[in-house]
Amino acid sequence: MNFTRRRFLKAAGVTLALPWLESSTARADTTPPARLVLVFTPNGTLKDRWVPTAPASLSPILDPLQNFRSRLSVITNVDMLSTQVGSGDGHQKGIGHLWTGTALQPGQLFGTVDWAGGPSIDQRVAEVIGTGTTLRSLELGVQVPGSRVYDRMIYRAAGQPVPAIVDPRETFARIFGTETDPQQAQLRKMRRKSVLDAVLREFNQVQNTVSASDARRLDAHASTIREVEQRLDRLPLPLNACVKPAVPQVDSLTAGDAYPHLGQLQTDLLALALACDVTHVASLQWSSASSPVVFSWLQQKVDHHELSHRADGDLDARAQIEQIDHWYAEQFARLLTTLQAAGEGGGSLLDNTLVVWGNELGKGNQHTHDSVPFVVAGNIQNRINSGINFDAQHQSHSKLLLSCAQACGLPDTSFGDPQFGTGPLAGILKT
Amino acid sequence: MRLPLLAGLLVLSCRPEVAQSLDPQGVLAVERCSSPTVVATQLRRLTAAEFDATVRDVLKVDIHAGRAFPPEDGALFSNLAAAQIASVTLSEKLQQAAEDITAQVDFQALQLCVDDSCTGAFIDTIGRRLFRRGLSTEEKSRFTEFFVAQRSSNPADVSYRMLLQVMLLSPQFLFRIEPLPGTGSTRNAIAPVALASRLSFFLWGSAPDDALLHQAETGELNTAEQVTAVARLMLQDPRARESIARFHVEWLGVSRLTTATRNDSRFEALRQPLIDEVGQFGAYATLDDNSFTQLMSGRFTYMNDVLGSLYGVPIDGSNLRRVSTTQLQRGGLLTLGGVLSAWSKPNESSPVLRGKFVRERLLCEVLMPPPGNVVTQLAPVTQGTTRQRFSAHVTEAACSGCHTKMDPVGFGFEHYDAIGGYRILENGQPVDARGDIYQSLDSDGAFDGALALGQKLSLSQQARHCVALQWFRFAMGRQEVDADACTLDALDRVIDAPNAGPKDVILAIVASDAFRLEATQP
Repeated sequence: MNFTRRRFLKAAGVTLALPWLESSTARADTTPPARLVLVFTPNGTLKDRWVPTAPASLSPILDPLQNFRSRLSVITNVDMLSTQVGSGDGHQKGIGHLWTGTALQPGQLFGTVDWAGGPSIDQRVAEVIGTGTTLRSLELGVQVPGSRVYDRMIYRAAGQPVPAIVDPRETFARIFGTETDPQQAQLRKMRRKSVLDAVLREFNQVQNTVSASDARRLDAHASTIREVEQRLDRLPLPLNACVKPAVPQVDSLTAGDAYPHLGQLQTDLLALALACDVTHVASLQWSSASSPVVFSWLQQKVDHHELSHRADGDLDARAQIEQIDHWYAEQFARLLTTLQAAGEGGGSLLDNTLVVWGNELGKGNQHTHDSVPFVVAGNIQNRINSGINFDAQHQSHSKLLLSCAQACGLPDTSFGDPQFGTGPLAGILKT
Repeated sequence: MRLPLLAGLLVLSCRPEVAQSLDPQGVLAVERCSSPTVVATQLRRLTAAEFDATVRDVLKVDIHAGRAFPPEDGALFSNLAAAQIASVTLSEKLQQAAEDITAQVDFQALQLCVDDSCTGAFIDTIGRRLFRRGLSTEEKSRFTEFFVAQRSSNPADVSYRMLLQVMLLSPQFLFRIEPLPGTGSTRNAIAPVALASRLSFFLWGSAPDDALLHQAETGELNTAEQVTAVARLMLQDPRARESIARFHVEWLGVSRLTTATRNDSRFEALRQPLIDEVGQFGAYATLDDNSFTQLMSGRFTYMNDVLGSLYGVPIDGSNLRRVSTTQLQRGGLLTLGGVLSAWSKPNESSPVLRGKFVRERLLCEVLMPPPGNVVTQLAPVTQGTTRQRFSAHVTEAACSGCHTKMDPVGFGFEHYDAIGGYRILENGQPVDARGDIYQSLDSDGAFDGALALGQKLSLSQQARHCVALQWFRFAMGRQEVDADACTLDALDRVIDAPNAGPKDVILAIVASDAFRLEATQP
């Protein structure tokens, strides 16, 4: 048993009791699929404690990722240039632009601001690598407090945010379905399909009786029904080596100190969904932009957002922020550990996955969108350069997002608002 | 981009020099209405609450399946068409809900024949209630075909339940589809049954019942006078109390408490009672008192045992009941525990959020977001009161523009903690709840404490007009646009009249052209 596996089993013991994973697609004769995972943590960071100081080292905040040093790149000086345009306050813009590279639309829905103006990168990638799986993509969150602009980072399309699942029991049901009786499963599936077919016929009929703008709204709804129906075709899962664990135990979704447990369950379930080949595209959102989480399990008493606004000279606040970001790095390490523990094609699932970790801000008490902390982990079939600290020299984050899409095999040449840059971030992708 | 231009509604830059150049009285006097216009209605989906209420009223199944739908508390009202987002999660939940609901439908109790010979009658009866209108011939034959197809391999009972699932998931049920008006005109009468639905979802938060559909079909909703008379009776129905309670819970931002995290261990037991209290308080002030003054400063509220212990009043039992607050530091909506808690942080009160709440929700102002890249460093104070820590906002030049509008108002609430409890000391220091309103239209000046703020707002025309505007948004399921000016002017006049109250605004809305007519959509 190697170190990683020991750590994995130890970690799994406190949450899901995950079986030793062997990815469902682990066949020697095929190339494993590429996967993309996005991870969000809020409220910016402390640049001088986050940026690695030497080429081969990490930083005080990123120290928990030491085991993965050779398999991740720290991207410094990436700017969300697109935030120069569009509506919203610093946090709203940050989370809206983070994965979309597009401006929040002007509007009245939330004061003077509306939803983001384009799809997030994972949804674009899912159009290409997410079509053959049970779930096109899987959006998970941890105590996401509501349904405001601050609470949404994934967008199916302009103006169409995707809510994250926040209850691990629901995540479990989304991955494995709710069917417990195989005898009844086939019958129920046929009935559900009949019902949904008939419902879609009604949507078709009604389309012509409403205005063009209303028809678009009906169509958006109908397409989600189509997705539910397609999923039925792919259940039950061909689990192969992937064993279904017990339904996770959840005591409270809202208690402040439930945050670590809920987050670890969601992290493990995300890894499980990839290992079971339920989806190729997933995301994990910790809290929301402007997160008010109080890290009581780290003996803190002030909420994260307020801490992030304390003055640069407030050493106590800085120590607490570092503690928070270090804790988030540990959670990120947990995800990488689990992905690495799942064997696939002679290597690990992590070898075929690109995990991108971002934030809505650079510096919290200034609401900056420059030098936003990004970590890119997993070298995705050797398509990107790993083990480096990459200075992006203040190029647009949309170029980084495009690089990620290209690493996943997409032929795209631009992502987000093109006025802030097209083409990939040179040096990230292996040539 | 359309921005509200309304009097009683300011779109202000937060830079003080711009704000100060406006003459409040001058803005109040602006006549907005030029030519009466009807604005096209946007397609609305049933909210989770409307879904649940309709299922309860039509199918007699009361399982609150909608509570599992994705949250709808992001925007001002859950029924704003623009805020209603399609998602796979929602469709999945709806499909599950349809199965769970139909599994529980008692056909006998609904007096529905489910023999093979009854298909036509079944579709007619239940279709009319679920779709809020008679079904077309084509619809009937499609549903009949579906039933027959299922019946070939399923028992009749199962086939009828599947048919019900189709109806519950169909756009004719989930969306409030109204027949398209003729082209070219901006002032089309809508189908009377469509008006019945508008009335019913607005006033009852549920689908019209048979009686209301019948009234629509027999010409009893044709004139504004008829609509007013029908609405007056509808407001006496218990369903109206529920819908008006919901309006207040959403308007005051209290629905977010459903999923909020509060560190105080008492909060879990308080969560639902705090929400219910706000709803019942609002419903009483509106339906019984019909008084804007009562809404802002009425010395009563609703309590059960857990709320009683928060407020320091011994109450038995979990049912809420009306309690006088003349002996308490409570009065009007500002001091309701749910409101205070909703605009707090998990672990402490928030003058900023509470000030923002007053400016945006009660005065209908639009605060511009803080500019980017501004240094927003709070002073490193770890001891002392919340007020002392937040005073940095108004001393920093970059922040003071907007925070001058929010924080001094919010400081007035400092006697109330993060779950709405009253306090005299914070961290061992006496609470200072003196507040100040700057840059409002008609409420500027100092006050001491939230009760005094309530008194002040009860005299404010800006706040009064704001209530009317919030009712308009809730009724129409959309934000106002410039073309609504005449309608909104008229509502302002209604609530400005002596002895008039929110109920008069509701009745004026349903009688208005904006509510009863339809424009051709873009």
